[in-house]
Amino acid sequence: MNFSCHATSLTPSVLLDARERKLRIEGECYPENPAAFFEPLVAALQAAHVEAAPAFEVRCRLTYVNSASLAWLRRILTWLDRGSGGGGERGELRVVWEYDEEDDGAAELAQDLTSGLHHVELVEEHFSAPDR
Amino acid sequence: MSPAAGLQKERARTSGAGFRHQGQILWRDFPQIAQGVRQWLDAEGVRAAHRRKVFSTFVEMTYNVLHHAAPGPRDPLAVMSGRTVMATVALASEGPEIWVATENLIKPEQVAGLAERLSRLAVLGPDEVRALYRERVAAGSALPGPPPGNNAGLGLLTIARDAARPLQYSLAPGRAPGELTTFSLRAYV
Repeated sequence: MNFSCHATSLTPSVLLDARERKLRIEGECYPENPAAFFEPLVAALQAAHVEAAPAFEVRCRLTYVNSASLAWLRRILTWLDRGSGGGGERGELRVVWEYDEEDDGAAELAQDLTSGLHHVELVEEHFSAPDR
Repeated sequence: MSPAAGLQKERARTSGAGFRHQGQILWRDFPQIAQGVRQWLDAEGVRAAHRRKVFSTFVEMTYNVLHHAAPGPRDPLAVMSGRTVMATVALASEGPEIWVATENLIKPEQVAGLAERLSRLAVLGPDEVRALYRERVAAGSALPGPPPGNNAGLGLLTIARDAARPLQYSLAPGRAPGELTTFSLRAYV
């Protein structure tokens, strides 16, 4: 099952390709109601049983994410991490965190988000933000 | 201090603000207010890490207002919506830092819990705040458990983590018992 939604001024674009075992989230993320935004994605992930098979990639380019949304992302990553357990090796859940090369704090956010998860390989990638 | 006097006082405190929204605030207004803040940050030439932290602080503080503020006693729309509140949201440059300030009314029963959370944060150093933030993120619920709540605790921690100084706040109760309390919060980023 695939899932996608377009970005708005408060929410990122989301693209789940269950066959390729990839999830991409890109944009700014501070929805008024995080549950209303994340629950359809969670339902799609659960319907596709992506946690049950090995290797899944979550790629995030979030220029801004608020605390409530971060809690939801952690909730999803924890579920994926537990699913890839059962003797699985570290790296079965690959989290690619793309962030502005001038913003070291954004890298720390990724470490906070994945701290304590057992099967995550965190990959940090830079991008150059356009001049403002 | 009466709630109205409290809001007038905040108007004076934020009179030098580079950006200020004062008055009624609704969820539907938020995108427009956020766009105003973006434009102000653009005009100030704030870049990358500093910009993200300032904008993050603005969002967390404004969402706290929208989630937790009490409608004022004379707010006619409050009767209809139950969620319309009067508040101040302001930002300004001060030397190398930018401050973000909010002021709003809260119910008397909200005061003790909020004061406890803020006073606990006030005694923590930056490393302790970061460690607590990481711990709180990791302690969140996993699927398929119940969804997270409004994250008031994580929201305040996010603000404290990005702040350059301890958070400044005041809680000014109304003159009569049971009256609303004026809550002011300022973060230097």
